[in-house]
Amino acid sequence: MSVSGLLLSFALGGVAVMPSSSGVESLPADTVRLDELTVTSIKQDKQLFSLPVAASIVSGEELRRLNAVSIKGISDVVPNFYIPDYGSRITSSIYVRGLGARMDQPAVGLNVDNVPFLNKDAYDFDLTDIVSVEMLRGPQSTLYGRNTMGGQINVTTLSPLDYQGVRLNAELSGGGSLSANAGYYVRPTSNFGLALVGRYSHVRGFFRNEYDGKYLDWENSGGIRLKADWKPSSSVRILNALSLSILSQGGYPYENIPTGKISYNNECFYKRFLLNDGLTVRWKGEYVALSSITSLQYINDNMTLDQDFLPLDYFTLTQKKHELGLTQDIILRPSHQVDTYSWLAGIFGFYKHLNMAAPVTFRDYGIARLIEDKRNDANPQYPIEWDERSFLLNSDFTLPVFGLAAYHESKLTLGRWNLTAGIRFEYERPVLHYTSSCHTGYTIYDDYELNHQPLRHVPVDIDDSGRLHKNFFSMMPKVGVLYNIGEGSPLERSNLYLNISRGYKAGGFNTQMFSDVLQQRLMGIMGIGASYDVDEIVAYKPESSWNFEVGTHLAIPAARFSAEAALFYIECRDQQLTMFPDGLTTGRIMTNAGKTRSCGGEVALKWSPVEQLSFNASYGYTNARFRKFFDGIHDYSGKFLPYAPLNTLFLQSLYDVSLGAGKLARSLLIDVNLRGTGDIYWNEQNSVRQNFYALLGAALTLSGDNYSLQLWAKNITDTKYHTFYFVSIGNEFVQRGKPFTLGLTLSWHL
Amino acid sequence: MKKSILFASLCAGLILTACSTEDPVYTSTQGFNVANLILPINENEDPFVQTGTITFEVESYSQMLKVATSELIINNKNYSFNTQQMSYGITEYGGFSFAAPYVYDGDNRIQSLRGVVTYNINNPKSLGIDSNISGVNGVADFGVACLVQYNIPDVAVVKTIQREAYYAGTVDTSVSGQDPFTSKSAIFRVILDLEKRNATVVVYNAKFNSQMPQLTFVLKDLDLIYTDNGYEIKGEEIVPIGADGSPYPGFPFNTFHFVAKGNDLSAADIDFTVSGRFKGKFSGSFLSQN
Repeated sequence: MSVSGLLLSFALGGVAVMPSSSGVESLPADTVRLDELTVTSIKQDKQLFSLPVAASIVSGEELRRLNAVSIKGISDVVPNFYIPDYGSRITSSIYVRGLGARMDQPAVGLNVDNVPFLNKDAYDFDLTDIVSVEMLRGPQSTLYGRNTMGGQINVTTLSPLDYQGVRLNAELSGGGSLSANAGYYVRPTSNFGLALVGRYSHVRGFFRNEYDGKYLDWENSGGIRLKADWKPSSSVRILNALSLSILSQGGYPYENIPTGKISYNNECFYKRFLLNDGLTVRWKGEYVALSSITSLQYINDNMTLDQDFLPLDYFTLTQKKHELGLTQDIILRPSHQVDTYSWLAGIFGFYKHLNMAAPVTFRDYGIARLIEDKRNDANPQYPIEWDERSFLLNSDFTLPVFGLAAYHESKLTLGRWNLTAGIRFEYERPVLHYTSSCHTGYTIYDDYELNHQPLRHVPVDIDDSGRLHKNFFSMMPKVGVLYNIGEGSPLERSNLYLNISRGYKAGGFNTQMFSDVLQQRLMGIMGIGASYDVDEIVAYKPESSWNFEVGTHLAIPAARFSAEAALFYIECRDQQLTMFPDGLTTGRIMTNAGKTRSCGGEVALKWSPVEQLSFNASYGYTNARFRKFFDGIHDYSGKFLPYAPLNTLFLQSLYDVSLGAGKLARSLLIDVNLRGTGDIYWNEQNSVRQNFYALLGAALTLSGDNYSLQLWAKNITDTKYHTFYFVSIGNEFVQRGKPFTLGLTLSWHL
Repeated sequence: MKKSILFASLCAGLILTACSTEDPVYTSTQGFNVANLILPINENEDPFVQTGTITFEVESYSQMLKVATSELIINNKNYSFNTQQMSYGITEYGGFSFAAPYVYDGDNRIQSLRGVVTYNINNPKSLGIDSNISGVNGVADFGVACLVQYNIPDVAVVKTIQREAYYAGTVDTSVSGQDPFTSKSAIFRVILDLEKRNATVVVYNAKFNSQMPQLTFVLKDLDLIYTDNGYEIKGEEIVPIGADGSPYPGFPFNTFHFVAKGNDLSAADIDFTVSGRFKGKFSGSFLSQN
């Protein structure tokens, strides 16, 4: 969308952008009050806006208006929070204030019904009956631990103690999409509730593979969730949330830039089975409250790729893994809020065990172009021919990781001042066991003296195995100061804050590079190229950051106005970057940049001048650059960090037309919104970028007593944009953003 | 009774000895098979190599050691020595160094003894290369360099030399009509065959201009020449062999000249010409720079 189009949308739709806020009586009905059994309530406070942290809460109602069923749906809605939609559900690259990760360790933590997700391959899934999504920006490492240096997302689903009945939902939309949800919420006794929710969705796809004409980004997925909420006594509450989901999808509609085509000849798909269970037990004694959060996560998936994404037989990859994760968090805090001092202490432990097989199949064209040609160009007098036209590079891994942490936070209230200090000590030990093998061979021919007679046969027998381990220790402190603006003033529920905190992202092993290590070994047998050192190329160091932030939470209930704003500066050391190595390999190197820094600001507003009309607006600006990064060949100092957008923008106006009581349709809600992102630089050299773009959306929602019917549209102007860019074996690819999409959603509650 | 008292006294003595408050002495003995390059003082005599052993008796607590050599036969006379204790310095990675201006051992007298035993040397793993090359037989597993030099007055200068070493450094290549090219990743693996008086050199990551891929070349049957200062390796018009045994007639080494340098001969200069147009100069060492 052009700038003029942007301004026109503002004029038509009105103003505003505001993130939802909570804890204020006079705010709209979709204001979220945090349940006492949410991890946020357990670890922080029921009212996030009374804390020195930049926090956005998106209510379930807002998610339904935005037609968002996963965390990707709130990308750009929350300032400086961006999740590009590309690849498949295994890719959940979240960027917050310039910090993000495309592989391995996430930069943002995710809890769903208190279950911490350890593997970001499982981040992208559809949820039904969401009550709220909280986005805490800035390092949350002190309370939430590793891999939360960008922030923390907490998702809470509906509790059967809060709602009983049947909820049904059906949707039809562009891309041949249909979905259906059904939820049954029952409260057999006054203190026990049970919810069973099921979901199914099918997507035909938006993008076709020109090679065979089939839709690439098709998807079938389903899941069930069983939630039990029990209060056996006034001092004990037990919550168990179990979810299972199954996914089968195509994905990877990558367009080759020179040809402008999405065309490849080998199958790409992603299949996944997810099981998560979280048991939260809270006991509140006379003096202290003890909470225990236990979780189990199991992921079993298969990612199969035509790794060259071309209609040529270079190579294919099948990556199969299954991982079991266990976590235990025990939190102790006082039962009652004391006027001046409160505290929290906890211990956390986790163990996860990954088994993965990732064989790469070298195919005819890849053998010819990447191996034979490379070798024969260097020695045409003695050319080689491979024994077979496809062979396997096998890689198998097991990766057990365990970690322990202890943390504490103290809060002191002195009049209008709140002082917060906390610290976390964490230890982690990953151990990688790997076996790599390749059994093939080739023949050297003599074109120099013997008229293409075979000179000798060279067998290639590689059997490597090894064990690598790392030990990571980290200390994550934080300090916060909050000043409550005076009672009795219009801003009595407002505050100013300063926050200094340390963030940490664990190091580890990039298993994706093993196929390239093997390939280089194979070339080394032939005497071409340099071999990678496994430990150097596979292992990567932890990333750490210092975050300095000042901000404010403002609320003027009388004016129906609330806002939050923050300015931040982040110094990051050893930032983990995913790079594509030079040359004809396909792996992604995880490397550590020397130093980076990120600074910027964000603002989010909500205003409702009259009861029927409200405006939301959020804007985030991030200037994230390398301060020092030399990869041995290029110096990227001063360049923008790739993949993190400079700007995020969200504008929304909502107008609720009352149709009168006693009628089938009581209200019509008109929603016009705009999401903007960019610029995004796609590489460290900053030579390729996606300019700022905006997507216009709208929805009409007709509501009655127990139903709603929503007609919605996304990307109304069919803006053309890219969500991803990469280079593979010297070829450039992008993924296009989704085109104009129209949909119809019916919800019914009994 | 007297026997009982005597026995008791002996036991008491033993017990007291066992409970001595003196610090225990830790001594270890390390022996190395070495190739001794013998450089005769008499200019009319040719340098030659003789294998032998050098043994170190190391007392780590007091940081003292003794050095003993096996016999060298020079002009039908036997030369060996066994030093008194002398102090040593600790080098990185558990190695040690020592020096003594004079050593007297009965009739044997040597001067300017100095040496270093170091584990901090280039090896395939640290360099990220594969030592398993078709047709190349390396020396048995090594991971340590025993570099010892000393003078036998009026007879010879003796220096130990490495039978296999990996030299890392910088190669500057000039080509007529092209920009000069510098490579910091080339590695020269030098294997000496002392019996045949020749050498095999494996050039890893050979790259002479920006267009050329990195290749591994094996240069075989090069002449090993002992000089007044050390040793050199020379060859002409050599067709290199690739790592898989295939000849590379497109990259003939017209000349190859290796000169061992430094008092301990751990460094080297290499000059070569390839295909009649690539002129390369290398300067490096087999001691690790890390």
